[in-house]
Amino acid sequence: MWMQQQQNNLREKDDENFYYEELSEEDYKQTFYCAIKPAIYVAKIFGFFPINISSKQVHEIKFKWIHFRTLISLSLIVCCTMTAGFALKAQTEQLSAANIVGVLFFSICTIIAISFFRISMRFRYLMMSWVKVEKKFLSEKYTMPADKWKLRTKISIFTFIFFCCSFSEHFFYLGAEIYKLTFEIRHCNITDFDLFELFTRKQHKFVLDNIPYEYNNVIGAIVEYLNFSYTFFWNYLDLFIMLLSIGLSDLLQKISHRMECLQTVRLDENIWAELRLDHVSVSELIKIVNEEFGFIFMLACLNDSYFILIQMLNITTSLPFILSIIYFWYSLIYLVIRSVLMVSYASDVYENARKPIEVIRMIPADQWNNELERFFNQIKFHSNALSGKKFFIITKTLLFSMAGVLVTYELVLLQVDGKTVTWQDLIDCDSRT
Amino acid sequence: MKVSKEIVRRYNHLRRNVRQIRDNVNVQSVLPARGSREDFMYEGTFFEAVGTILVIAQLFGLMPVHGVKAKHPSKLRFRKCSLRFLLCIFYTISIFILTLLSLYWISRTKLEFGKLVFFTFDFANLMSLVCFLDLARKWPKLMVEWYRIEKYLPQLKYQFDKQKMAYQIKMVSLIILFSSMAEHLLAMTVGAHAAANCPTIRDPIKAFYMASYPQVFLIFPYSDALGSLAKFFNIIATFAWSYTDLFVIIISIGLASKFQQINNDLFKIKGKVGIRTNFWTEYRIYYREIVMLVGIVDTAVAKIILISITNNLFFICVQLLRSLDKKPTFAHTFYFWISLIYLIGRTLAVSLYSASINDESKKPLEVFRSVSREDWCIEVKRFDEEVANDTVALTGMKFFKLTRKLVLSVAGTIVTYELVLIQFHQDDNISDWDPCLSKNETAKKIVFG
Repeated sequence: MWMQQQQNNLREKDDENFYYEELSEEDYKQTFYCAIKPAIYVAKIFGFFPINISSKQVHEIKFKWIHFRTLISLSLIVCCTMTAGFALKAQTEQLSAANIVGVLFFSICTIIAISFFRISMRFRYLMMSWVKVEKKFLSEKYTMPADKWKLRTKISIFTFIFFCCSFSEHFFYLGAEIYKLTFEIRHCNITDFDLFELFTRKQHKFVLDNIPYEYNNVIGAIVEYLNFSYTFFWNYLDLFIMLLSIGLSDLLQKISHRMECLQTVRLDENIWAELRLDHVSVSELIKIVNEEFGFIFMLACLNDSYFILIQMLNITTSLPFILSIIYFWYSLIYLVIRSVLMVSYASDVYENARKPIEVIRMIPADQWNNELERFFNQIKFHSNALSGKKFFIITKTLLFSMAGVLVTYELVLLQVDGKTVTWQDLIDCDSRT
Repeated sequence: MKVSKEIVRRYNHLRRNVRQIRDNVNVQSVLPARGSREDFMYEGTFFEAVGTILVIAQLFGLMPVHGVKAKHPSKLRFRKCSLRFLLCIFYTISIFILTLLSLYWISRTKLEFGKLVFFTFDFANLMSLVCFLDLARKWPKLMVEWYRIEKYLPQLKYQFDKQKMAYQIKMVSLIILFSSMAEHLLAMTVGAHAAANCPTIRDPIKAFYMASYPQVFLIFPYSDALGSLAKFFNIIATFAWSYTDLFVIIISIGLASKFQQINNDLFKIKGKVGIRTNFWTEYRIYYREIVMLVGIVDTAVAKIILISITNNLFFICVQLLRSLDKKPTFAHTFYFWISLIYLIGRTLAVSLYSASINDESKKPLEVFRSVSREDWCIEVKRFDEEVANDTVALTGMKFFKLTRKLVLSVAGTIVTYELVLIQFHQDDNISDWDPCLSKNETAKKIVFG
């Protein structure tokens, strides 16, 4: 622990000695910092990232404790904790793996919010380290062919599609619930109602019962917005990991692309030394990312595994409404695709770091030298992958083992026959408040 | 031979003078000792860091070695005719008797999962007492070898660095021993509370002893003295239970700090140019010595690591299974969850500290890849290959290596087994060994370790 503190002190000193060379406009457009700004702006709406990123220069990112952004973030974290507490309180029956879903969802969202808050405090350091590495790749030697998508385009399109899918999933959920509500209204013959109030009261009964204020539409709106935020937190975890992986893979692809272009040329040992040192700097960046985000990688894998497990258990349940059935399958497929994509993109970092091996293997014997040997050993034997706090590294093998583990647990938990849920189970006319 | 009185008189006078001179020079040998600067100066060796912990353990009959607080490990002695050794033998024999009683009790009455905890607790503690006795025999040689290697490594310059390892060991021991004591006191409190409200037996002390140690009172008639004796041995066993884990942690801290010492020096020259070749030769040899030390310690401590890990695994599995049973009172539920959290926390601490040896041994790789072209030589290459290819870690009798990956696979195994066991879970019948639970209650009583 003392050693870590000393390392942190060393980092801070490095920070002060950074030569704040300003980035030019074109250089800025190629950086990772510019590419993820849209994703961070969207997150700011929901209370993440209470930092000032209006400037184009990374050393001007500011995090202030006394600022309304920070206060909103902190209050969101507090609200999430309280919601988890209310859900636990409302859990009357014996806790088991299946009926603890609600409590776990809110607890995981709280942990995600706290982790991202901590990351915003370290964000300036992370981006400055990233730009320091990226500056080496901005030169002409590392230009990619024009037909390949730039980093900024890749990330923007990806973020856009992801947000469309996740928001549509949430709206679909709201639609299914409203449909159930209209059915209940018709069945229970409720007259004189306010749809919004009825809906909010039904959805968030466990929260509204515990807050000291009398219900009014403003509180209902706030509770709905909070619920939307929690779902956003849950999705944003995977998105951010994917964006980080795309950024790192992009740097590694530049190295392997340059090596492929220079394959036919007889190279000096100096060029190999330069390539090797560039690879080393990306490895150091991966190490920094692992230190900052190690816990988040672990959390994301656990989160996805658990929720896929729980959703798969409900496959055998037959639901009454067609809209519920469509929503269930859509959310299950979305969940599975999101998890698979996250692990694939994260394992791409590992794959791209190993690409230079193929080029090195083709080098003829008379060009073999010390630096090449060092480069080869470095790629083969050092771990250049995203890892969850060094407990596991994220590769394609992990996907297989996660799938294997999930299937095992499913087989064990699916010993009971599927149950049928009818609409009479879902609607209880006397329980409205 | 006749010695003249003159010579005797002169001799006595000389002796008195010498004594006076000595007294004048060093008054402190007459007065009770105050702490001097030497008492607070550390050498930075493992031997001095671990001295206090071993003395505490010897009060409970573990590792009866003489000379643990001496200045040099060559003063360590394992003597068979000493109070500590006899105490150790006495405790071992009594816990052996308790184990036999548990076995007899289980075979006589119906076999239940809850009763297995009694037996396993006593058996595991018996095994750890025996293994610590065995380790005590080898301890002097081990410490001399450790001291020799520590002195061979480049010495730390500042007191702050020297006392870091000792400080860490003392803090960890304090935390673990105190939480173990707190957990034991909580168990006794909950037990006393249940015994005070016992409907069948009026005397609360008798109820407490009868409920906690049914295996003893199956054969022997009840008496307060016997109950107190059983409680005393139970305290010894609880200490041994915590101490096994604590010992593995202390050994890991000691070994990992040696790697840290080398890593600190290597990181100071990271990225610099103009490093001599013999620097790499020197540090490669230091690294080799530490790896050899890890191997020696591993062989000596192997059985204890194995006992610690299997013990923890078994207890976590059993306790997780019993989390599904309904508990009689809120106090029982509270105690159960506290003890489960303590158990899981302690197991995680053991795994992570022992995995830190492997983590620290891989750190030099970062230094090697930053070595410049001019400084790259065959010595660095050799060092790089050795660090990359060797797995340096504590093993449990060479069955498995304690790394971070193992922690994950163990956690996965526990969850899998739990899911399987949950499927076959039925609430156990009324515990017929507890006289305080009336026949009408269907709840299962918590067993106190």
